[in-house]
Order: sequence, then structure tokens, then C-alpha cells
Amino acid sequence: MRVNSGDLIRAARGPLLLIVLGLLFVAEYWGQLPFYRTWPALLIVYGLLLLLEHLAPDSHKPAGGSL
Amino acid sequence: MKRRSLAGPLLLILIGTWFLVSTLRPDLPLLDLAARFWPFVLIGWGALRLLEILVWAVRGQPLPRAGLAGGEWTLVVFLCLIGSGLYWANFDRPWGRLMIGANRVEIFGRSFDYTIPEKKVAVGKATRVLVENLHGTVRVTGADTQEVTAGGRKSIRALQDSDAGEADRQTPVEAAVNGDMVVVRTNQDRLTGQQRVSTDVEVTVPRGFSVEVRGRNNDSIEVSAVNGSVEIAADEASVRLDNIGGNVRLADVRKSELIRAANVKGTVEIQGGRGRDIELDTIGGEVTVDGSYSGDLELKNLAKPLRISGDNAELRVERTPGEIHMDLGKFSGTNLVGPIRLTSNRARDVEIEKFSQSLELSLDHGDITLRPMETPLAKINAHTHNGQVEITLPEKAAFDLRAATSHGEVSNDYGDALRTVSEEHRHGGGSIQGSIGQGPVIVVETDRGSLTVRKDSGAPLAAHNEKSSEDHIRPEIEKH
Repeated sequence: MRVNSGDLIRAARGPLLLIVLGLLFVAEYWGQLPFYRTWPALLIVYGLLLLLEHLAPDSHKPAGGSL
Repeated sequence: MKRRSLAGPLLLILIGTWFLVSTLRPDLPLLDLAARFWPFVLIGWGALRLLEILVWAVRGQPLPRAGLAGGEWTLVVFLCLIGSGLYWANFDRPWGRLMIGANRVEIFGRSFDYTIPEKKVAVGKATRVLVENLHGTVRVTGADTQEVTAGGRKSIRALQDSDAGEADRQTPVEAAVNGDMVVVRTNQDRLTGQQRVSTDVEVTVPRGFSVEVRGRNNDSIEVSAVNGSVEIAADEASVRLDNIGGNVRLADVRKSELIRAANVKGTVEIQGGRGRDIELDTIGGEVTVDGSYSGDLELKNLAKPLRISGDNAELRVERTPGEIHMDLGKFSGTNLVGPIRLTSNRARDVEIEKFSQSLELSLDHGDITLRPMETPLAKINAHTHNGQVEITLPEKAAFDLRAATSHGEVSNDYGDALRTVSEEHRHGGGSIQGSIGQGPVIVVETDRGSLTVRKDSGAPLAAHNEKSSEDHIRPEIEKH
């Protein structure tokens, strides 16, 4: 079975957000960038992923031509 | 077939390993490590899930609808709360460090006291002393002597007598001449075990010496009766200085309950710290305070300019023959020589009595009470966004007054000599303007609050206020 990129991005969304969340805490503890300043990055990443998902070709539609 | 993630089992193994190590090796600072490194668990967890999804995608296996299930997000939230709490308690708050960072020695240990054998060093060509003591107190005193003497006592917290003895041997107090400097070291950094050593070191130096103290977490650092300069660096220490002939520099005292300096002939520079109280009395040189102090600032008898830069206030005063008291909610000054400049962007009432030369005052929120007392008057420019303004001018002073309030009552002791205009709209507001003789421009303004101009009767400020509130004189009002 072939996996379409929209499904892939949707499945990867959670793990990617988790990685960004971890990086923001690392930035707070090690880079002196407090979380209360950097949290909007989570919204931006979430928005970007939704956008990518939206732009990805939808495999549920029949490919090419019409009946 | 339902695919299961590896993240769950791996997380369980990680948590189990952490608890196992913490029970087998209680001496390891595992809570410190957990508090510092927990965000990497999130990153690792996310990376593992991402890798799994990519592998499934490459193999053409069906992908889950959500990369992380609802239960996993709940676990993430718990992890963030616990991790942040640990970090906050361990690194942000000293009481938290005490509670959570406490090891067996602190909980079950006993305190053993040792007397430090007195060390004497002939100073030769040395002109300064460096005292290094990470934990405990430091007291340096100048005396008519040509030797540096170091002594005191040591308190060691350990589980048993032999451990404490070993710690005492590892941390000898040493004094030696090194070039133009006598170095006194307590050597606490050489300690290898879990014992806690706190050294109270007392050093006597020739009166002409300069003093440098380097600490870390010190209960107090005291220097007195030396003619040279004093420089102190510590993460946390209360500092007491008395009778210092040279300049004082506390540029690296990051945290303090109290900084007190009295009878300093040189400059005093306090920079970059966080703390509570500051007391400065009889300082001959310039005073610079730059940092965030939440307690009381008491400043008396400063011969040279004072400059305070805080998170919420900036103050410049040319000379302070009298005194200044400042805390988070109030500023009061008596007998000051300007130019004086104060800006405050937090709620703070300002009361200044007996001042000469110009005054510039800008408040975000707070009452202003001014009583120059000295004649001739100098230029005054005082403004508050929200608060009452009261200015009491000397009876025979010459001035050109421009006082106004946007919302509030106006009250004028001078009667017809000054023009009072009162707005008729329901919020009040008005102005008091006019010149008496040929004097400087005095501008006092509030956006919201009453405006009062008084004639000075010579009574003390507090008594004057009480009297005036009982016997409130309403001036003749020119309707606008």
C-alpha cells in the first residue's frame, strides 16, 4: 500500500511538536531563553504542519481524469 | 495487526533505571540531573516516534491517524509539570535546593567543629590581601601590624567523626605571600567526599591594605578599618563594610540579604545584583547602585553624586547631606542637593522635603508631595499619571507656577495671587497658574488626582498635612 504525504505529515505532527517542545525547554535551561517568550514557536510549527498537510496531494481522490 | 510504539516500553525502562540507580547509589545527584536533562526525554521520545512513522511509511504500512495518542499527550503534560517543578525547586529557589538537593549528610549527618590553627605571614612588599572562602563567613579587619593573621573555626557536617576529620585534613586554611598579594585560602574546593564544610575565617591585615574577597555562598562578608580598596565577589552573601579608606566595588555579589557600608572615603559601586536591603551611611565618593533590590534602601550623608538604576526606577541626586529612604512602594528624601532626577514606572509615592537645585520627577502611579523649603527656588518639573500632587512653597519664595490636574479637585493656599481654574465637567480637573516675583518655572501635573498648592508655615511635613486636612481652605474659584 502506498502512503500519501498528507497522512505522513499528520502522523508526524505529534512527534515533531514534542521535539519542538523539548527544544524550547532546552533553550530555557541551557540558552537562557525563557519558555514564556518562545512558546509561540509551538503555534507556528503546528500551523506550518497543518498548512503542509493541506497542500499535500490527497490520495483519497481518484488519480487522473473523471468517469 | 495493531502496531505498538517502542516509546512506551523504552520510557518505562528509563524510569526504572533511574529509580534503581537512585536506590543503589544515593550519593549521585540524580535529582539534579533529572531536573536539568528531562527535556531531552521529550526530544528523544518525539524523535523515536518520528522514526517509527517514517519506517512504517517507507514500508508502505498504514500510518496512525495521530502520531501521538491522547494518553501520550497526557503523559507529556505530566512530564513537563514534574520536570519544570524539579528545575524550579533545584535551580531557581534556594529553599528548593535545600529540600530536594539534600543528600544523606544533610539529613542524617552531624556537625563537627574545628578550630583553625592561627597562620601568620610577614607581609614584606605585599599591599593587598585576597581571601578565598566558598562557604562560611569572612571577616577582615585592619590593624597596626606588619603581619597578616588568619584564624577562625570550621564547621563540618558529616555522618561520622572520621569523615569529618578527613574533610578537615583536606581543607586546610593556608596563608602565603604571592607577589604583592597575601593569599588566604580555605581550600574547600579540594574536598572529595559528601561532607559539607563551612569555614568562618578571621583575617587581620595591616591598615593600609586593599582587600579582595571571593566567595560563593557566604553567610556574611565583613571588612573594616582598612585604608585601601575593597572588592567582593560572591554568588550569595550579606556584606558589611565599615571605615574603608579606598573605593568599594561589589560588582559580582549576585544575591544578598543586606549590603551595608558606612564611613567609606572612596566610591561605592554595587552592580548587577539581586537582593533585599542596602544601607549606605557617610560615603565620600560617588555611589552607583545598579540592580534589582526588593527591600529597603537607606542612604545617608553622601558627599558625591548618587546614581541608582533599577528595574522600575532611575534616580540621580547630586549630593545627599540628608537621607533617602526607598522601598518598592515609597520614596522619601530629606535635605537633598540637586539636580535631582527620579523616574519610576511602578506604583510609588514620592515625598521630598528640603531640597535645592532643580528637580525632575516622573511617576507612572503614585502621590507626589514636595516641600523645597530652601530659597531661592530652582526649576521643578513633577508629573504623575495617577496620584495626588501637593506642593508646599516657602512663604517668601518667587516662582512661576504651572500646576494642573486633568481629573481631580484643585486647592490653592495663595488665594488671588495665583489664578485657579476649575473645570466644570463631572471629573473635575483644573489648574493653578501664576507668578509671584521673578522666579523659576515650577511645573506640577497629574492626569488623575487632586492638586494642592500650599504656603509653607514652617511646620514639619507630617504635622502640616494633618493640620491642612482638618482645616481645608477652599480658594476662590474662577469659573471656566
